[in-house]
Amino acid sequence: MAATELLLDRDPSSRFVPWIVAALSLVVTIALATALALAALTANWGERAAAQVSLRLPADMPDARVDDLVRRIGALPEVERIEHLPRARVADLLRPWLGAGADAGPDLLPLPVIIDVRLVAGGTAAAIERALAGVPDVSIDRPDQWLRPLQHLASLARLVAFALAAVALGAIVLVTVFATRSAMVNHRPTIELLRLIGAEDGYLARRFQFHGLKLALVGGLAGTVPGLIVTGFAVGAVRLDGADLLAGMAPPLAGWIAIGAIPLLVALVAMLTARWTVFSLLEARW
Amino acid sequence: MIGPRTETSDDPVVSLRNVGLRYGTGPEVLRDLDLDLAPGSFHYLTGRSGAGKSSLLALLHLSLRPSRGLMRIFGQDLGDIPRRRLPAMRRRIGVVFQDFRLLDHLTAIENVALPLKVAHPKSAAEIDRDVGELLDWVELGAQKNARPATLSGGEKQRVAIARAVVGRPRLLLADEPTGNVDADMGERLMGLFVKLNRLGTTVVIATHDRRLPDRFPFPRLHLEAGRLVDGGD
Repeated sequence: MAATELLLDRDPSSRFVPWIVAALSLVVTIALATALALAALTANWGERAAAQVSLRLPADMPDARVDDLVRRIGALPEVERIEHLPRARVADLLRPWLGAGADAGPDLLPLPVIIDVRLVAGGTAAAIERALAGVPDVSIDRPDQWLRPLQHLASLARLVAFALAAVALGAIVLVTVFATRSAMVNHRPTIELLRLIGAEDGYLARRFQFHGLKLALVGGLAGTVPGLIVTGFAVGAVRLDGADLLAGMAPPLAGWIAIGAIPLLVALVAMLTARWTVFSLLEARW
Repeated sequence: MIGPRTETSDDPVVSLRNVGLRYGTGPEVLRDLDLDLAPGSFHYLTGRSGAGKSSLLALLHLSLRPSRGLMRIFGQDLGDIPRRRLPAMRRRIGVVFQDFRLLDHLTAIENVALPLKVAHPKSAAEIDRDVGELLDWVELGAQKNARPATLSGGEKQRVAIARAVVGRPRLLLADEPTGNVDADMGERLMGLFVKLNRLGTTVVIATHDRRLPDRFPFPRLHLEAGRLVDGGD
C-alpha cells in the first residue's frame, strides 16, 4: 500500500523547479555571505578606528620636546600604547608617492613627527586634545573620520546584499506557487476523485508540501554548496592579499552556520508555500 | 418543515425540497425537485440523456450544491454543514462512476483501499486484510495486484464497486454501472448492489437499461428535462 495516488514526481511542471531553486539558492548564499562579511568588516573598522589616533607634530620640533609630549600622553589612563614613528618609517610610508625623494635629508624634505596612539577600549581622544592644548602646529588625525564614508558605503552594500537575498527567496516562493498550481491543474482528475471519496484539504496539501520540500531541498543543496565554495575562495583570496583595510572581511562562525542552513530555509519556505497554495486553491471550491 | 436537525434512524438519507440546479448563469438543469430517499431503500434513476441524471447524482454525492431549495443529507441541512465537515459527509457516500475513475498507476487493491487510506490512518496490514476480503467478495481476489489497464470492463467495474463500498457507506450511488459490461456481468453486478442493499445500504442506480427494472424490480425516479415526473414505474 506504499504507492502514492498523486504521481507528483513525474509531473513535467516540477522538473525545472530544482534547477531554478538551485540558481536562486546560489544567489541567496553569495548575497548572505557578502552581507555578513561586510557586517564583520564594518564592525572591525569601527573598533579599530575608534581606538586609533595619530598625532602630527611640526618637523622642527626639538626631540626633547617630542619625548616630553610622548611621555605625558603615554601616562594618560585612556592611552593603551603610544609609539613615536622614526623618520625612516615615515619615509617608508611616503615612498610610494615620493619614490627616492623620500630618502632626502631633513633639510630638503622636512617630514612631520608622527606619533601613533592606541586608546584603551572605550577611550576617547578628548584627554589627548587637552594634553596638547597650547602646543603650536599640532594636528590630531582620527581614522574614524575618514572611515565613516567607507562604513556608510559598506552598510549600503550590506543592505543591498540582504535585499538581494530577500528577492531571491521571494522568487523561490513565486516558483513554488507556480509549480504547485500547475501540478494541481495537471492532477485535477485525481484530486477531484480524492475529494469525492472524502480526502480533506490537509491530506492533499501534505502530498504537495512534501513534494515541494523535496524539490527545494535538492535545489537548495545544489545551489548552496557551490555558493559556499565560491565564498570560501573569496575569503581566502582576501586573506592572501593581506590588505590591512580588508582584515576581518569574512562571515563569523554563526554566519557560516546560517549560510549552511540555507537549503533547510529554502525547503521550509517551499513547503509552507506549497501548503498555502493548495489550501487557498481548494478553499475556493466547495 | 422537513424534520429534526439531528439524524434519527427514520430520517430520510437524502431529502430535497424545491431544489434547483444551474451551472453558472446558465439555465436550470434540475428544477423543483422534491425527493426523499428512505434508509435502506433502492431506487433506479432513469431518464433520457441530458435529462439531468448525472447532475442529480452530482448533487447527491456532494460534488455540487443546489442553486436553490432545501437539501438535507443524513438528517442535516446542507446549508448548515461547514466546509471542513464535507469530507466526513462524503465518506458516508459511495460512488461508482460510469467511467470507473480508477487510478491507472495503482493496483486493484490499492485503488480499492484509497477511501480507507484517505479517511483514517489504519495500518497497511489492516487495510490489506479488509480490502483483500472485499476483493474476494467481488470475485477479484486473484487480480488484486493487477493494474486497471490489464482488467476487463466488468473487472474494472467490480473494482470501482469495491472502492465505493469499502468505507461501508450509508448511501451508494452508481452511474450506469451496467453500461459497459455484457448482460451476464450486468446481472452479477446488480446482484452485488442488491446484496449491499440488503445489508442496509441505500442505493441509487442511474441507468438507461430498461431490462434492469424488470429483472430487479425497484422504484424508479424518472427525470424529464430536469424534473422528477411520475410515470417511471
